[in-house]
Order: sequence, then structure tokens, then C-alpha cells
Amino acid sequence: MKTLDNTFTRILLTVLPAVTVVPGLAGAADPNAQPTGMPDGTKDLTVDQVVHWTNFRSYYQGHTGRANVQMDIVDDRGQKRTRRFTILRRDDQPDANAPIVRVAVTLTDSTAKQVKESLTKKLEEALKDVDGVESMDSVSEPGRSTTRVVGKKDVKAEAFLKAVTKAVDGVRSDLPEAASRPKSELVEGDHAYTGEQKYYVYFRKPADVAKTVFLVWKHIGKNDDRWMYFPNLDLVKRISAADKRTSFVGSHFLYEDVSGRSIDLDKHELIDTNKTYFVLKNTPKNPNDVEFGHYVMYVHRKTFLVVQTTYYDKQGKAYRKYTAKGVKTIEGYPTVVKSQMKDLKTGGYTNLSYSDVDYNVALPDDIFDKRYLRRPPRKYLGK
Amino acid sequence: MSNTKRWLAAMTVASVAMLVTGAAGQDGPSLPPGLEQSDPNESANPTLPSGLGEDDGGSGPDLPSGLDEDTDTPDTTDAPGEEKPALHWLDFSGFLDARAGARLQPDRYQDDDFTLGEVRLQTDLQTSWRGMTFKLVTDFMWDTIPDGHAVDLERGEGWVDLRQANVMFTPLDFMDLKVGRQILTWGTGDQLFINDQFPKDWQAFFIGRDVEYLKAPSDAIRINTFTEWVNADFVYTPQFDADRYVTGQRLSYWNSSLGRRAGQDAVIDADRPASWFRDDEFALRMHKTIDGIELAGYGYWGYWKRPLGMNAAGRAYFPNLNVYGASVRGQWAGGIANVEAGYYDSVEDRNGDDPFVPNSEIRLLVGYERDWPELADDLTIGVQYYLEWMMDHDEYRLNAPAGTREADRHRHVITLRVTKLLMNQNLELSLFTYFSPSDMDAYFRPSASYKIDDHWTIDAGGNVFLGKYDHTFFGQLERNTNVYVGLRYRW
Repeated sequence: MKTLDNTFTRILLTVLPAVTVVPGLAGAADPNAQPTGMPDGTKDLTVDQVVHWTNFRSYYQGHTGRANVQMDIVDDRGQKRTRRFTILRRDDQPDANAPIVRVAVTLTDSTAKQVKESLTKKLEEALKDVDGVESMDSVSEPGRSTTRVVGKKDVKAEAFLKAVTKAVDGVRSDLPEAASRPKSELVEGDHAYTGEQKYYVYFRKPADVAKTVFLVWKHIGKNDDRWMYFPNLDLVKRISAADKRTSFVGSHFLYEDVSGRSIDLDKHELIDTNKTYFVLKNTPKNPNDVEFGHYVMYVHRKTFLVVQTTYYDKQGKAYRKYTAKGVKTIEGYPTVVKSQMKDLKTGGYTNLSYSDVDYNVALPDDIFDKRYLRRPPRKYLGK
Repeated sequence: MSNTKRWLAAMTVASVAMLVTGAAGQDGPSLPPGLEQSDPNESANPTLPSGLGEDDGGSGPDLPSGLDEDTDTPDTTDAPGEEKPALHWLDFSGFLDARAGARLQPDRYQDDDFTLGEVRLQTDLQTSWRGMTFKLVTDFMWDTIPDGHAVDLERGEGWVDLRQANVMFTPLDFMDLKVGRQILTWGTGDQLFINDQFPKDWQAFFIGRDVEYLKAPSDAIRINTFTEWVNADFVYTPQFDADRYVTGQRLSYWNSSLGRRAGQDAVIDADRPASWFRDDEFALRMHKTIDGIELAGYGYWGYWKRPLGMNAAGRAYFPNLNVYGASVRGQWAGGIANVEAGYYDSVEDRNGDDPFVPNSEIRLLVGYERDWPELADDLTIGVQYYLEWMMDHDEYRLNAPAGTREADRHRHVITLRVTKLLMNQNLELSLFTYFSPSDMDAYFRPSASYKIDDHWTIDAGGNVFLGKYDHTFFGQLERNTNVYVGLRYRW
């Protein structure tokens, strides 16, 4: 099933995350531009604060959203191709009021494997029986173990922090003597992005993919569920998603650009703060997993929007550049409505633009069901 | 007639060549990556971007519109003049497709070396009114391979083929209804079907039409219901819809009565159940997704989709068939795994001793597909194991007429799909292989498809059949091995 199966599969694979790029399609239930806890960017901030709020602004504003998306893909020969689709997004727990505690332990001169065996596993073992734990995920890296523990909805944050702290202190005697004392802290800010999300993507152009639907249920702690519907075959195909750093619908954006790269995968340094920007240098913790050596982001201080990101290869040479080209404040959310990703080696680029962006739309949960693959919800997709 | 076909083939090939060279020649050759630096500011040197490391306060990229300093960003809504993608009240799309294909070897049972030579115009009209969606998809054909038939919408013969003509609506909150001519699909296999008893067009598949034509239309009523406990789909087909199978007219096949391959000398003229509401079909699927695992149970009450029986007059016919089955599909090891099984209850030969009616069978399918970024970008590999297990093989052997080429108790098939995308995903290379270690036969489907722009696509491929024996499923088609080329404009 050539065109149907594969090209399209790929398109869908990658497109879905595009939704998150839709500004504000994710995020705070708070309809204000300044969500609870967002610090004043004109003051000096720590690197963690900058990273957290930049990530939030890029991918997690608003608890539902819709947008019409157009991608103009221009290749190195100057040939242009256009993709158009409509994205609907809904957070499963828009008002999730769940506390999150981050537990960190350091162990000097240890490898990632040693950290996993001697720290992470033991902490996870101790944490899983704590009252009120909904889920957790961990990162083991050389010298450091980090576990994020998500509490059940409506569990009181302070009590939850206490319970977690008590549990990790309880296993301290099982950890290597050289390990630091486990540090537990509440993760501030909006928690929407810890919830599950659903996306419905309806393709309009080009003609060979028109009316095709891509449905994604984005999960935490396990792989997303993805389906594609091909109307000409009446075929509902299940899609896998092992491949994150490949092109998104044949564009210069990668799947991970649009879905968002987990902030836990990189080391972050605040290499400059000037009047307008925080400048972040991000280096992958596992360089073998990715094609870049590092990337540098210019984050607008007032809004925490990323204005420019340049990717450098492992020899330190710039080869890809993202630029925000236009911003609108929509329903209180600063929103990048025009942007570009450019391949600096070939000169090819993709311009991305959003229109009819709407946050906190009343999208019922059931339209994200497989039933609506065969019956597009026109009311919400728009005329 | 043959000249017309050659002309069409030549035109298709020539247009393809023109488009390819035309596309490649545009704007002159470009330098290969690494030889050019179009913008000195994006220099290859590992310098920091402008502004980095300088202590001048406001350095960095220019702010985009909407983020200008010291102006409050207004809360804008989209300008009304902006172009918006629209679902018009009448949605009109379609394509024009020219396609030619030829045998790679002569076939003594076919006059024509061409297997395919056609121009097809598809029009797709869709509109909505009071919550009802109407759809009409019609193919107009200029087919240079004569099948000697007038327009037959049931068999898909003649100059017009009605693909869809239906209305869909939601009479109750929990129910969707679709009535009319429609394409129907369910089940979990990849180009293998166990519980999907909706009509297929195998001939289109074997000669290189677009894969969309593997599914032939049904004239049916489909009712989908959705509840908290389970979802149930019912399909009622008031008049039996057979597969569009290989008849010998265009492709040759194994004729067991003659004990040899046959083609235009012995075109199958089957006795087809054709009474409305008596020769009908009923299909049912119950399905539910639990924690990302898709579970389904199936039932079918109708006929074998190909004329596998022979009546007293020696004429091929479609014996009764019921099918009961189940499937599971979910994520596994970074990919998608599926298992599907079905029991084929051959109602007219439950003892398995009637040599003129197929025996009952169990069919089983296990599949796995995933991307392999570890090996290459944009690479997908899928494997399937498929089994047909004849229930009363001893009875079958005992009663088979002398001289019959007997089928094995078990027919094993393995399929392998390898798909790779190149050139910004505009070029797709694919190879789908069926291989049966028990029949000692195979079917290879190599194909290449290139999107010249948002409208034009060219594709080429082959259908290569190999077999140790003349009577096996793919082996019988050996003399039909063909290559094809196609060109399509879509809007």
C-alpha cells in the first residue's frame, strides 16, 4: 500500500506533534498570559526556571485548542510543496490538580549504568508504595539520578512532598555512601503537560492525502497510540512511532521539533542574559541518540517564547536554524503564528503558519474516538 | 487495437520521461551539500551566533513582528481576509491516471502482451445537507484491453465504474448509518485478509492499478453502534458481492478440470447468486479498545468470495460460507503487533468429503511492523506469518478425483514489507513479498513512486510470480508476470 500506507503513515507520524507547536494548544487552564507561578522574565532567573517556562510556553498553553496549519516546503531546487491540515487538541485532565515532586541524587564519578543500578532503581522501589503516587519516570545519567513523581489528582502538594521525602530518606541507608542526600522538591508551575492529551488531525492538502485523518492519544510513561484513516480504502491503520528525529510530513521540521523534546534529555546552560534574551545552550546527555552536537536558543525574556534556535553538528558547525517570524497574542496567550525551519547546508526551508487559532474550545472528548475517523467532526474542524 | 495500446504505453512513458527531466532541469543544477554557503552569516565556521558573548545588552536576533519591545502586543484575532481552508458545501476532487503494463514473457493463453493500458478519470463529489453526508465517486475508463463486456457495475467492467454512491447519517446518538455503494474494510492483516469478507479486486492488484483498487465496492447498509461496553458494526449486503477475481480473460490461471493453466480459452463463467434479499450477506464485528489493545470478534454469513465450487453441470459457483473469528492488535517493542484468526465453516461440505466444494479451514495471521531508525531514516519493515489449515485433509485426499493436484493440509505464507522514503519523502521505494515455503511459490511487488509536485505523481513497479508448480496460488500466475508504469494528476 504504497502511497497510502507509508508516505502517509510517515506524514501522520510526524504531523501529530505539530499540534503542540500550535501555540497555546497546550497549557494552563488559566486563561491569562501569565500563568500561575510564571516568574518575571525581566528579572534574573536560574537556568531551571528559564528552561521550564520556555518549555511550558512552547508546548503547553491552553487545555484545548484548534488551528489551521499550513506548511510551505521549499526544497534546495526551489520547488515548493504545500501541506494543509486542521488540528484539534484536548488535554484529558484539563483541570488536573496533581502535585509533582522531583527527587534528585548525585554520585560523583559514576556511570549512567551505575546510577541506574545503585540509585534510580532503589528510589523507584521505595517510591512506588507511597500513598497518592499516580506515576513516575526517571532519568539516570552519569553522576546523577532524577525521578519525577506525579501525585494523584487532588492530593495535597505539601503532604505529598512530605510522604515522598520520608520514603527516599527511608532508603538512604541502601544507597552508596558517597551518594548525596536525596533532594526532593515540588515542581512549580502548570501541570497540564503531565496529563494525557489527544489530537485529531484532518488533512486538506495536497490532494493525495486530503480527507485522511490522524488520531493520536498521547500518553505519559508509555508510547502514544496512533491511528490513521484512509478513506479510499476505509482502512484504519495502527501506526508505530519509533522514529522521532525524521522529517515531519517531508518538511524541514522534525517530529521532535513539533512534539517537543523532553527537557530531561539535554543539559542546559544559561550562557548569556541580555536585555532582550535568555540564551540557552543545550547539550544532549546521550549524544549517540541524536544527529546534533548542541543547540542554542534565544528565549524572549518577557514572554518565554523561543525566537531563534540554531543546531550545531558534532563538529560545532551550524546546520539548521529555527526562527519565529510572527507572534500574536490570542486570548491572552502569546502565540508564534509564523515560523521557519531552514536547512543551512542546502538552503531548503519550511515556513509554518497558523490561522484560526482558538484556545480552550469546548471540544467534547468523544470526537477523539475512532468513531470520528470515519465521520470527521465538521462542526469543530470548521468550514 | 494493439497499436492503440502501444501508443498509450509510449505516451505514458514519454510523459513520465518529460516530467522527470523537466523537474530535474528546473533552475539549473544545484551545488551538492557542503559546496555552497548561500549566506555568509550562516558560515561553516563554528562561530557563535551574532550577539553571543558580546556584552552589549540587547544583542541577539531581531524580534519577530508581534514581539517588538515597548509596545503592548494587542490581542488580535485573525484578519477576516485571510485565506482559510474550507470544507465547501460541495467538495469536488479527483484525478486523471494513465497507466500501461505488459507481460515480461509470452503467455500462450493470452492474445495480448499488455496487461494494462488505460486512462482513468475519477471524480469525487461530496456534500452535506441536514447532517447527512452524500458521496459519489465515479471512474470513467478508457481501457484498451478489451474484456468483451458492456458496462457492468457489479463486476467493474466497461467504461464506467461506480466506486461509491452513498449517504451517511447519525439517526441516534450512538449509531452511524451508511447506505449505498461503499468501500468496506476491517481486520488487521497487511494485504492479507481473514475476517474481512468484503469484495476485493485481485485482478487490479495483480496488474498494477493503484492499491486503492484492491478494495471493490459493496452495495450495502452499514450500521455502526457505539456503547460503553462494546462497539458493534453490522453490514448487510442484500445481493452477494463477489471478489473481482482472475477469470482467464486478462490473466491466466490454473484450471483444475483441464489439469493445466488456462486463459482466454477457458474463461470462468461462474453461476453467481444474484437474487436480492435471498442471496444476501451479513457481516458483524464487535470491537473494543482496552488500554491501547484493540480487541475484535467477527462473524460472516454468506458465500466463498471466489467461485471455488463446481455444480453438477460442471459450472463454477460460489458455495455457502460462514466465518467466525477474532483479532488483537496493539503496540509491542516499539512497533505494532497483531494476531488474527478465523474459522471458515464451509457449510456445504462440513464432512470435507465433497471434492467439488472447498473444505472448512482455520486461518491464522501473526504480524509485526515498525520503523527502524537504527538502520536508516524513513525505513519501515513489516513481517507476517499466515496459515491456511484444511480441516478434513484426509477426507479431501480420499475423495479427490484422480489426477487432481492435491493441496497440502497446511499452506504457510510469509510476507515481508520493506518501505523506504527518500528525497524529502517524495520518493517511495517499496517491496512487498509473499513467499510460501509449503507451495514453493512467491509473489514480489516492487514499486517506486515519486511525487513530482503537489499534483503529479509517477509510479512504476512489477508483479513477479514464481512457482515450482503450476497449480499453486501464486505459481499458477507465473506467466502473468508484468511491469507497469503510471502517471497521475490529482486535484
